[in-house]
Amino acid sequence: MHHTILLTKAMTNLLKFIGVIGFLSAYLLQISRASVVSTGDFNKDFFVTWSPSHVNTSEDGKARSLKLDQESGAGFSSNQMFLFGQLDMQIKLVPGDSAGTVVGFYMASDQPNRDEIDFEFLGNVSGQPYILQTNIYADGSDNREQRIYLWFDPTKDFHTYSILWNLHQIVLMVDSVPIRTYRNHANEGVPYPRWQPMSIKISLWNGDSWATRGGQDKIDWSQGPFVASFRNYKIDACVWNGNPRFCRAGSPTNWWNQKQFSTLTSIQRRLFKWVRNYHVIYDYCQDNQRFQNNLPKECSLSKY
Amino acid sequence: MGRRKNNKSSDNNESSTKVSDSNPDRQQHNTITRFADAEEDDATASSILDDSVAAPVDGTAIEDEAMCDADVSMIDGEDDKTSADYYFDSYSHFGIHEEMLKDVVRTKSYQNVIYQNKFLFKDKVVLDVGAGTGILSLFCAKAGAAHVYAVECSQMANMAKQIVEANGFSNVITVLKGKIEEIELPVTKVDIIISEWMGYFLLFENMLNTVLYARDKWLVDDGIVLPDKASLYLTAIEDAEYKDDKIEFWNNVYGFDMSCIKKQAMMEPLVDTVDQNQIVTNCQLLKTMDISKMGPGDASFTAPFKLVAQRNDYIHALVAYFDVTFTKCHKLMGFSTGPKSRATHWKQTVLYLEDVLTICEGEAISGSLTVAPNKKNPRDVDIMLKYSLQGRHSAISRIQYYKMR
Repeated sequence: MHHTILLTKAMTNLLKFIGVIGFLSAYLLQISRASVVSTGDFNKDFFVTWSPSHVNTSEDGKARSLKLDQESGAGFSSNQMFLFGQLDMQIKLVPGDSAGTVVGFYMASDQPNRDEIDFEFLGNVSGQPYILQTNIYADGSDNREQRIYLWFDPTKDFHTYSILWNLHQIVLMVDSVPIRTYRNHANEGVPYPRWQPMSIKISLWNGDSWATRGGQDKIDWSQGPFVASFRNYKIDACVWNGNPRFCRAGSPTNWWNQKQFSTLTSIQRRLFKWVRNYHVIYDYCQDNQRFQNNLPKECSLSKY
Repeated sequence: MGRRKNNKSSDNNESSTKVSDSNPDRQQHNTITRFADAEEDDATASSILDDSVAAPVDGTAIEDEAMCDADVSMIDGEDDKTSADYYFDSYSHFGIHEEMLKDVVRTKSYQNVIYQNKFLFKDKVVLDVGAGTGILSLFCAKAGAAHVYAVECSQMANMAKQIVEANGFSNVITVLKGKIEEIELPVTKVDIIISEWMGYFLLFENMLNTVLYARDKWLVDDGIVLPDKASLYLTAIEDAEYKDDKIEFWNNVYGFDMSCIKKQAMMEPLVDTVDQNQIVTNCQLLKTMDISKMGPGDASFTAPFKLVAQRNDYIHALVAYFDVTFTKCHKLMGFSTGPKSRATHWKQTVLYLEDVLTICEGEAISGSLTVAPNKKNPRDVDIMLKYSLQGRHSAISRIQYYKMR
């Protein structure tokens, strides 16, 4: 009788323990399931947002190109939305006389007070360099444009453009070189994208009303059609499931939230300074005229 | 491989009540008793083949009473509408608007266009054509428009007024009840015209002409129409299972031959969702309409096509769908209603072929599609399809007529 009671207690404790382990593993599984490494197949991870006739995807789904002509541009968007992570996209830009064309690779939320992290590639007349414009919208406010010249010809070959977005910082990278940072200074009253999930969007369109020399250089349609190509993308990010808690957790799966990614490494800082010194052609944080000597608050705060 | 149906009855019901927030009659075609049908003969293609112009010469939009309020008397002032009343004012039913508002692709696209391009709207005067519940007007007001005139010809205008008041925008939004062709705006010109005018197959319901009328009458010279581009596409699909279900079904109905109905069934395009795996050919752009420049007659057209097979398969139907784009935004924005995009209430439009075509990779179906408003009811669309295939297994040349109603 006594043995039976002890055995029953032991069984109860064991079941409780199994229950706790089960709960924890289910919890961890939910966290791990929230993070995704993409399939690499454009057909599976993205849908065409407009002009499917101007979207060409390789048979294996690993490469995709967009075409711009007088009829239309084209675009596609991720099936999922994400809250924090890293995206890499290899892009080869429109060659030749690309004035007026704009290729966009960006993340954007779907809210009125939207968050957005932008790469916009502004075409140019033959012989003139491409301009890479970046912008960050946080809680609906923008006007954070920066422009750089790249240190290579982005039309000759594929290059990797990356967005690292975590609780601490946003880092925009070109071939792993950080070209721009935007730190989380929310405690200083600076808006930072941290609650709204974003989808990934890629598009090619006619931006000749503003893109090249302020809209002075128009698209020369005789040079078309204009084609930009994309391949070897990687999405390593937290899939939005309606609850920010999982994406904000510093779990091994959400590696981007870990401490070592909270700031630039010493090598990254050197590269970042090199870009700042030699390749930046416009920075909103230096445009006193535009902001009437009242620059946005983040301009005076640390970059990394 | 036919389209997968989770619940056929609910799906059919769903497609029979898809009506736009700004388009009252977007019902699938036989859900309302159409008294005019009794007079119509089978040769419904007459308006396409005639040289006469379907649209009025002066370019005014044609609206039948189904779009706007009929003079329906209320007993003791009660708002007890019958199905007969809804024939004249189908657009008064909130269910139609609920369905449109819940089409996230549609509504979010407009919301994003407006909220993400506030520079277009700030301090501008906006005209919302076919405002419905007033949702687009509310977006515009919130984006900083100086004033918005929301024109709605159905009873929903009364609701829209209440919605505007309830949300504190009465000083910015003026709801006007009436037809665009008949109302007077309190201003001579507007800076922006916004409308969700698209019907099934893009053109079903002929509301585009109403937008063009408003544009020509009220839009300032450098004004903006949103959306400003619409494109119609065509592709070909394998659809044996579903064609059997919808068309071949009539060959043997409980042991009886009802195949005479097949002809009628074939002539009516099916609005339904197509699985992208059914697509056999490339997709071809048929027609792009620039809403800011086109004339009322440009919605009638003949477009050639050449659809090249991307695999060996059978072809049972051609499928039409459309994209709309808002090119005046900082980033080009828009949405597609195609099979490779997110589903919308517009679904796709399936045109079944009389023949089952056996096609090999690289072979092409070529032909033309002619589209025009029906002469008797310009809100309906007549379609003439000419196609031919000279392939290893199929050699065929045919003309087929369809009528969206």
